[in-house]
Amino acid sequence: MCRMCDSLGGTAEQPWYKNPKNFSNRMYKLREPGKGPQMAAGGNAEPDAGDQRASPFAQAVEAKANGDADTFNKIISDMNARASLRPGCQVVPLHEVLDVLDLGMPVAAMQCICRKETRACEECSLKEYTGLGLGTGMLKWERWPERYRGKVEFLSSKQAKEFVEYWDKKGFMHMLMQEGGDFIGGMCNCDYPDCLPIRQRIDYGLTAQLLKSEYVCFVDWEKCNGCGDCLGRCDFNALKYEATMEKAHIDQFQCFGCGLCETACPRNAIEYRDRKKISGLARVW
Amino acid sequence: MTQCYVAPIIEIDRERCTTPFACKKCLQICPTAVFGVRETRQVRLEETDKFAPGSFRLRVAYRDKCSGCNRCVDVCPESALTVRMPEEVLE
Amino acid sequence: MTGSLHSVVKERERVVFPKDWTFDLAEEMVEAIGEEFSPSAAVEELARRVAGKPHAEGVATAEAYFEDYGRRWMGRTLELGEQYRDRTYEVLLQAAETTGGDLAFPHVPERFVEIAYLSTQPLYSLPIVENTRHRFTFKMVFCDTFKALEDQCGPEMAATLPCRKACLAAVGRAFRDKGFDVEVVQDSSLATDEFCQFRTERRAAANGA
Repeated sequence: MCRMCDSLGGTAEQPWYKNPKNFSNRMYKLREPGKGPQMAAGGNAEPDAGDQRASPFAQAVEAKANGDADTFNKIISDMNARASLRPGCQVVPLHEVLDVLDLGMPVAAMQCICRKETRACEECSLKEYTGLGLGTGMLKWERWPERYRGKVEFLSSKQAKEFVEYWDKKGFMHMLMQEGGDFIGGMCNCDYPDCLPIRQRIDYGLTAQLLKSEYVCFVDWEKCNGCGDCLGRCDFNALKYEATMEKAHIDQFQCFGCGLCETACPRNAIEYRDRKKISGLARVW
Repeated sequence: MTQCYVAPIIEIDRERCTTPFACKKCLQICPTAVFGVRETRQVRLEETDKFAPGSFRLRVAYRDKCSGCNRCVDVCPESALTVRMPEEVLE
Repeated sequence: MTGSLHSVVKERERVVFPKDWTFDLAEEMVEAIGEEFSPSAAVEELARRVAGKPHAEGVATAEAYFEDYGRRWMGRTLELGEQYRDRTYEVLLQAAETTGGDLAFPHVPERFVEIAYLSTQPLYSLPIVENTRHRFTFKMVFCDTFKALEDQCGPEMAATLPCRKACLAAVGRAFRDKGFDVEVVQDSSLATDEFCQFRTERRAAANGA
């Protein structure tokens, strides 16, 4: 089991994100005496990398861009050590996302915060939204309209499932977020390089804040005819066409178990295997 | 150990680049998605006006990924960007 | 502009919401319910009624008393809760409407359960164990009613937990009033465990969901 299941009530049979406790949240809280309302957030813009107030991550990027591998590796390993003490995000394949959408309620489609930052995307309607906000916090989204670019769209269970299936088809993998909050507040549909956690893991080795899924994808070479429909779907550099064998090839250690290749395969030649039951991969998160 | 290569220096002239979230040309053209943009302030009950100068701020978020291709320099309508290799590397 | 999925820039009016919107419960309402249904006052009244009665009769009286109290407590909460709306509730009602009722369970009745407990019990937020489309479960760790029962009616009476009738009746009323066919059960009890836990199971789809 990974640390998410250890700390958030998961078991060998039921990963943490199927435990309804992790989605439960109150709607209201009374103001404790002496605590005022939160009126305005401070500046949100990250200082430039050279700035002393820059985040550790920005400093790591700057060190890397200066060719200073020692500083870079030191900052990243410190960040990993800190992140490994907290909950993070985990990749979840489509079939499990669909189960989870019955637990995290209400569900609202919303603008992706990473895409907004990385590519200045402005998702303005249900056709464009790529993120899902989960839980009662979504009922109060209007407090901070900038975070949602002015609108969200609440979805029924059926609509939410269609929404995720649509983006899966388009090529986004799925991820649940338990970062900072005390409940699962978001189901993201992500790809490289827009998604910050994916990028920070792949490009910078921040392995602790985004965990691989409970699964690893295997290609059944009996069924695979080498058609290549799965190629281009992998965000993690795990999937290629192996010319020697004339088949799709998945590197088990690179694979995050997101299942995008599985949902694209017309011959059901890709199968999920439980990571925890494969001796060499059980500790590879 | 990660290999580190010295990357180009990207300078943003903030007198010229004032509404990056509305413009977004460099953010969307960069092959390696080097840039990032954020609102400078979040106000309760209010969406930020992307056309108000200074309401969003462009930053070089992943400079190590800059290949120096200069596409952002070419696309910037305000000529606010310069990309150059540090001189000590060129010598 | 590139041909990326989200590159089209739409021009639309900037969203600015009214500054007087409040997403919290009205303090006036919370105070009113708290005064009217104060656990210590309710138990005081009960203590008068059971004084001198044999144990079995006292327990029966207490259970009937709490059941009635719970029903009235939630009745008043439903009344005032509709009178004092807040933006959180309005958004919830809109969300329920746009999804054909799909998002009404459990949150619409949950709101009134939260109001009832926050108004009368020493809580800043109600500990929710599960609020999914299947069930609504919460727990009470520090309960003023149970404490008052122990103090005023004695540990023997408290051990029978007659006050559970109030919670079962109140929670059931909140869900039924909002159109849901539910069964409310108690999973654990302050008399024997560390907390009371009440679970509301949805029996059939309601409100068109």
